[in-house]
Amino acid sequence: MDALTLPGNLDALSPIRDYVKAAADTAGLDHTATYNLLLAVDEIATNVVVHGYEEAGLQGDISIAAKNEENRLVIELLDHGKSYDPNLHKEPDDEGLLKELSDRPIGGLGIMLAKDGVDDLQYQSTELENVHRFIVHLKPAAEAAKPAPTPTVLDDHGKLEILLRISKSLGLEIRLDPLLQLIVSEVTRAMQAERTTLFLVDRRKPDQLVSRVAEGVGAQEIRVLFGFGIAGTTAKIRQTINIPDAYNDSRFNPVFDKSSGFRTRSILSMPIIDQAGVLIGVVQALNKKGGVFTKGDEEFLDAICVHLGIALKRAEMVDLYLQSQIVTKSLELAKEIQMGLVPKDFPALPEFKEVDIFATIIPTYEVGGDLYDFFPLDKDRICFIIGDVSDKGIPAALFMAMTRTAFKMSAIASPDAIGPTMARVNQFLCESNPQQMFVTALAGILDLRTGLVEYADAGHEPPFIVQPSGAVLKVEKVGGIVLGFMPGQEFTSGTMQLNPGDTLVLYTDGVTEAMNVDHELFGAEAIEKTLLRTGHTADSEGIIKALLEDMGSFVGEAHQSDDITMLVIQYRGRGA
Amino acid sequence: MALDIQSTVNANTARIALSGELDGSTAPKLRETVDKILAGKPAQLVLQVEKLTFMASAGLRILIFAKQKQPNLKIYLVKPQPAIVDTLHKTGFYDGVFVTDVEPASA
Repeated sequence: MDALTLPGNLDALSPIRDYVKAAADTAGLDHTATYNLLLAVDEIATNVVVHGYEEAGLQGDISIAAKNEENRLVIELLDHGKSYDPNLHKEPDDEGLLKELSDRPIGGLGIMLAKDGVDDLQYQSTELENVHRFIVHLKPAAEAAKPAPTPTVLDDHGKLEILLRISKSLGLEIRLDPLLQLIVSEVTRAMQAERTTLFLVDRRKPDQLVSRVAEGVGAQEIRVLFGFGIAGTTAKIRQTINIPDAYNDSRFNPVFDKSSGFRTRSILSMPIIDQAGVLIGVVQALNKKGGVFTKGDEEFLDAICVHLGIALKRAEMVDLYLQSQIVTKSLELAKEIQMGLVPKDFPALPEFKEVDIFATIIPTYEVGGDLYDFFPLDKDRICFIIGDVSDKGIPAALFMAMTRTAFKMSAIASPDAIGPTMARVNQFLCESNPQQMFVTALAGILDLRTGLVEYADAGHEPPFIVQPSGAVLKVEKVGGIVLGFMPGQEFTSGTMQLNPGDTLVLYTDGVTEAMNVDHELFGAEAIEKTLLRTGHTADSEGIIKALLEDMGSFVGEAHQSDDITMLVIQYRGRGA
Repeated sequence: MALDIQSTVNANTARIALSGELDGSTAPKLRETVDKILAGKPAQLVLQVEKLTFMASAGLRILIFAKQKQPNLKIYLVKPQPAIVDTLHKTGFYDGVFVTDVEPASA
């Protein structure tokens, strides 16, 4: 076609489109390809006029020429304005396109439509002129001559092609939310419907359907009870419902039409059932274009539903897995926080030469219910506690954190005696204990001047004392009831004497009750044996290492069944 | 081909019937109309577009303009031609407006 040259202003747009339309008709482009090409050329011509000429303060012509090359139509747009390369222009990204309309950036949309409307958009700028080249591939004559599929009849070959495409695209999407969107648009296209609504059975309320995607009603969530409305009835009877005129069907609920402004005419509603025969959801195609849904449509949607079932099931599993990953991540954080609650820097209390303290805590799960703590009350006294909450996992960890905090605050607030401190902690735990948990604990105050330990016991394992001679003594405790169990409980304290070189070994029942594959317990005797072997030669860290090693070889392949905690305090005496 | 614009306002609903082609040259006129109508703070804007045969991105910009001016405005597009629906889909505007075959009642 002969080139057309016009003054470079907005009045050129309409004649340019007429020119392109004529060229597209000559080349035999179909309606959609023609419109897309028109849009592409129009967007670029608008940019040339607005940005290339007007905003740049320039004047000049714009010319257009069409070339019908072999198998392609090339439209060339020439101008002499400021150069503006569409391929360097940033298109709005997906995020931008998903924004609320009012938050949208203005630019870039035209370029995006231009690039999208043709097979290739080339740009060249020289001193003489700027050239945009729009290229549209033409279908081979045979294909072009084939009649376009009419809206109502799809032959088996066409259906198979669509099925294959759906199967392929569903196969590529493993995340649930994008998959739902994909299903909705694929079903709308395949069924030649105006709209598709997809309901899933609610995992938490299995007698309800919930829809997260319904075109045109925005993010609004639709809930439907089984047996109600068309979707609910489909779910209940697990059979396809094909309705030519919704407003003449008493089961149809027009409330969603009212809120969305959409008018439902025909509905094809079908249950999605997985391979195990479990109902996953309901898919509804709405308003068959140019008629009502036929028996053939039912069969076609049925075939599609098989793919939907598989894809949805898999996406749901991926979703659950991702959620469990989130829980795992939270647990890791919880572990970090919990481990931050107990002193972990060793050697501990380096300013107190009178003691050598080491401790370890090994939860069964990520977080646990055991605790230990030690801190100075003043320059002459150190307070310590070891404890074990009657549970494992997160509930125990929360209770452990409460106990540890209550103990430390109480001990520092009134540092004179350990009995009243334990009584206050007990009272506090009793008052805030809906889960009926309790804590065994042994706490004490070591006087660094004398080696005297005043301690209180709340149902905890009896500690050992290792003497420099190598002798191992089991402390006969004063006895007391567990914390968090009985409000108003008093705690009497006892004393034990540590001489320089003596080591106090405290532990939780995770040590004594460590179990091997034959369900035998490690036991207090085994602790005693280890202490007899290594106790008097080792420092506090060495004692814990030896105990862990012996436990390890006893337990072997068996799984750890309880939190394991040890606190070892070696008293060196003042002036050591 | 030019763009013909007919507008009416009834209660809280503004209606604009468009026929012809909405491009960079005709968009300013429509924008002016929309601007005038929004001064009355309608709850919904109904665009009757059955006879709109072409819409460039300049038309989309008017939708953005309207939403920016009045974020709670409900915009309906009544009976858009398939090519225009396609443009709305490609650009993500489809989710921001209500596309319907039925003329919505006045609010």
